[in-house]
Amino acid sequence: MRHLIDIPQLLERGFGSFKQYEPGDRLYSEGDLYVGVFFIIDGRIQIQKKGPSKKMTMWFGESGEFTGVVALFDDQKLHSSTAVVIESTAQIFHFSKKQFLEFLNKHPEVQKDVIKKLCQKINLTEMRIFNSILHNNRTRFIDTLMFLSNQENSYTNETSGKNVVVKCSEDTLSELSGISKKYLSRLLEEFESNKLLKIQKSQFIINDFEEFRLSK
Amino acid sequence: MIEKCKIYSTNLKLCTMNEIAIPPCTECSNNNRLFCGLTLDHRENFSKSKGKNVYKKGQVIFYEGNYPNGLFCIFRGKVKISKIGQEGKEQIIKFAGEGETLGYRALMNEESYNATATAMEDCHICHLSRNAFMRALEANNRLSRNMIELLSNDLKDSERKLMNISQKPVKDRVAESLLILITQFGYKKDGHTLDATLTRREIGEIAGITTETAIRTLSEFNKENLIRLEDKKILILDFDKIKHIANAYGN
Repeated sequence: MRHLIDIPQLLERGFGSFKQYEPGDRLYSEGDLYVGVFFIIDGRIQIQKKGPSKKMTMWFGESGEFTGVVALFDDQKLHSSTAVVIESTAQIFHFSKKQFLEFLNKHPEVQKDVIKKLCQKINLTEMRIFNSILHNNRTRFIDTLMFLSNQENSYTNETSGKNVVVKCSEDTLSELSGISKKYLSRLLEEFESNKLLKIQKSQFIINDFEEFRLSK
Repeated sequence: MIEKCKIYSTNLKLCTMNEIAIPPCTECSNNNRLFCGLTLDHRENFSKSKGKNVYKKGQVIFYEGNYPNGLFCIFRGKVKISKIGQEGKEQIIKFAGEGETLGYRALMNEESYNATATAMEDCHICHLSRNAFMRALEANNRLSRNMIELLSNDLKDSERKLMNISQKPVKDRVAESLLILITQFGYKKDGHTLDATLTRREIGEIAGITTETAIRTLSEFNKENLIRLEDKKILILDFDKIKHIANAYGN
């Protein structure tokens, strides 16, 4: 998506603004007045919501994605989640609501991409809902990793034969699958010793996707 | 104007019926969010390319795992969207009613349906082919914007549901499920009886709890005079109290 957005040209026209954020910085907070849409040029953000008992991670925004789109149409004009920069310095381009809608109107390819990303986020959230009700930890782990691998590899085309690379930390996997870190470590150890998975820093390599899928 | 509609009976035998009137899109009074704000010309184009079908109660409109060939717009009736888990256990994801659109996410994301849509009562449903819809989407910024808004609301709803299932106590979840059903289906003419016939299992699925827990919680609500249970009918006696329980944590 990054190739569709000419940041220097936009800035030259006085359209939008650019800013660098450090890990821990918030782009916006849940309940804040709506400030617009943010495009992640480089970096990673975590989208969180406040729950009855604790904060919960909804999803992670990667380079080339927008965040703040959901609240664009909110009647109360408030952000419905918090966006926090994580891991490293993030370079972010900010559109006001009016600017973003104008930008969307002129770029149908961006519209398509925004639509697809929203669909994928909904799919991820529904998978988590479904897993938390119906599935045991082992199935949740496999389903989540498979879901992430389908998304990741459709972006990066890193599938090589049966091996599939998933860029994801253990913490992220624990949050998204709803499994405790302790239990997840046990599962990862088991899958690694059975040669179904290789664990590297911030990524997993599924050695044989089909076999992995069948190991539920 | 009375239109002939195709009806698929349970053994898939095609027959026709004259008594159902599904108007053209230019005259449809359903407030469909996806087609909101479109010009008459655009609606007329949709009318020319749409199909109109009747699905009897219990019939499947589309199956999880199949690939979409278009969109479905509900003119009349109620539809249940559900998934099947590993041990064949059904999980209701949501309900859809008049004016709502089905199957758009699979179409937009170019994937198979990730749930099954089943008619909960006799439904009159319009079908717009994939080609017709995609052509309209490419030519119409308003339609794209409506799609983004629709999906944004869906994401918000899913996130709220995830939060509830992960953190809200059972009682609050059942109360919220009742509110969802009231919003979705409304009341019968008496102003108290939920206009939907659902089993305890189905209510449990909406709340993300077992059937036994759903039965127990609904019985508690019955004892507390928040609702009255009459077979599969639910009478809402104290809406404000139910709302208070559902929103106990400010959601």
